[in-house]
Amino acid sequence: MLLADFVDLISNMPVSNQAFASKRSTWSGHMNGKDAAGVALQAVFDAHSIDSENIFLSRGDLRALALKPHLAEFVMATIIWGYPRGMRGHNFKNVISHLEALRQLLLDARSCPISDWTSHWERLSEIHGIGLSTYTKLLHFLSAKIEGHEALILDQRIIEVAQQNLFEELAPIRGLNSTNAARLYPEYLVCMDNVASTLSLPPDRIEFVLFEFGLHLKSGNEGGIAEVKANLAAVVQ
Amino acid sequence: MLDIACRQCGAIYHADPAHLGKRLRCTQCGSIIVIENPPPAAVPLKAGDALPREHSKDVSVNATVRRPSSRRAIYLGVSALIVSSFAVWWWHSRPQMPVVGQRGQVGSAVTQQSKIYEGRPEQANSTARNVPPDAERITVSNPFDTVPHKGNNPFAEGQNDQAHSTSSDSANTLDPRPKHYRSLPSGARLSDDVGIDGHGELSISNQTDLDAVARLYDRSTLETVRWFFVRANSSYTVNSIPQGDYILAYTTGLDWADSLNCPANRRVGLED
Repeated sequence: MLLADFVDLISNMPVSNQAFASKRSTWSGHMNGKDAAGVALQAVFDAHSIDSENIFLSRGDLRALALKPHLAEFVMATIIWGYPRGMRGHNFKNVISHLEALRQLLLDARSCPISDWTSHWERLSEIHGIGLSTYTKLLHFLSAKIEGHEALILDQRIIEVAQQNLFEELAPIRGLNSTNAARLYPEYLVCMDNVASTLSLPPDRIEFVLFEFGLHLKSGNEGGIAEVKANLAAVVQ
Repeated sequence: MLDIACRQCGAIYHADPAHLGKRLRCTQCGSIIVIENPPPAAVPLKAGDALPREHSKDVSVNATVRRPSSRRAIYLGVSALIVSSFAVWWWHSRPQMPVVGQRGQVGSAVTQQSKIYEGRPEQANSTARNVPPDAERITVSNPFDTVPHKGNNPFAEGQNDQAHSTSSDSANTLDPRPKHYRSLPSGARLSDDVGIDGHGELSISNQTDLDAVARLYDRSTLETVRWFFVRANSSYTVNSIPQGDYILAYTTGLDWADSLNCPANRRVGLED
């Protein structure tokens, strides 16, 4: 199966509108504090709640928050968007306790293209609770550049899609797994950039369609079916 | 007494109103008849008859809806005429388009404004744009649109005497455009927006090879309402600006320095 067969679909996907809902109760335990994270979390809920209990955040909202000067609200909103049911274990608590370090790292990434991913990733490893999935979400919405390529989300779902070997264009990243994903992240970006430029589409649209449909498509033998139909038509005549 | 007709064979029966809703079996054909009030007889309307009350009410409602809508159309037309006249007047009486006071510019704009733009961008108050009360959209076309630059050095060509006289010798000492430099996404804020409930818009198209920082601040209170980054050769629109009287200041340069909140390479931008 080729992604090229779905160019019309991909080009019309409402990427910036993709939104997830989360409940205030999921995060309220962290909202009471007067620390930067608590204040930022409260601000995000104040700005984006659809009622007293629920919040609804889209990719477009995150991009707008990424333009704000301090980024604390952006970090909180991205985590809510990425983990609407809450993060596992103590991950969120760890993020909060390292929020300032994370914020500085992101400010750097926003203003200066990351020319050496490996060393940058090493800096991130000092911040517990943030994995590749979360961090690439943050980088993506910040419009960061990694080794000359636009940062894209790489989470478990995208890894599974790559492993499925469904789309021929993704052949270079078939070997992705949760262990090597951080190391191979630049190669993932190169692959996605190549696909995007071949299809004349923005790379984040490719990532989006992989996320939405990648695990729910089955490669069909369209050629075989057409051949059978042609034979049947010949028999009828 | 109610007259009940069998729907099957037409036989007529009489029933007490107390039996409404009950059923009886027709002795002629055996079908079941429900005892209910007979439907009102349909009277064909003749020409000239008054319409039933409900219909005439509809008509009158429609009429009352239509009348204001036609009046509204007239109001809209008159309003559009007034707004367009105001827009034409405003366009012709507006202040000079803001032009970046970077050295190396040519053209009459520099001749007129080079003195104003020397020094800090905050002093460039001739860029004031009044927000007309009715025209809530402020569009600043190409405030950074200067002479097309050749290559990576925006000042390599296109200098005239006037520009040169205000620019000392820095044009000769410019570094070539760096391959890697710090920048921010267009629209990245340097401070939180102040006043986000208005309808004003400010569009900036930066057609230079330099990054720019634009700052919109209130003329009387000097409070900054928008302070944002516009990358080289890109555009950005800020919106929801409240009605007011503002000054637009800006600076340009390459290689963003976070700690200074300004482009670090001042040699290609404005000097302090």
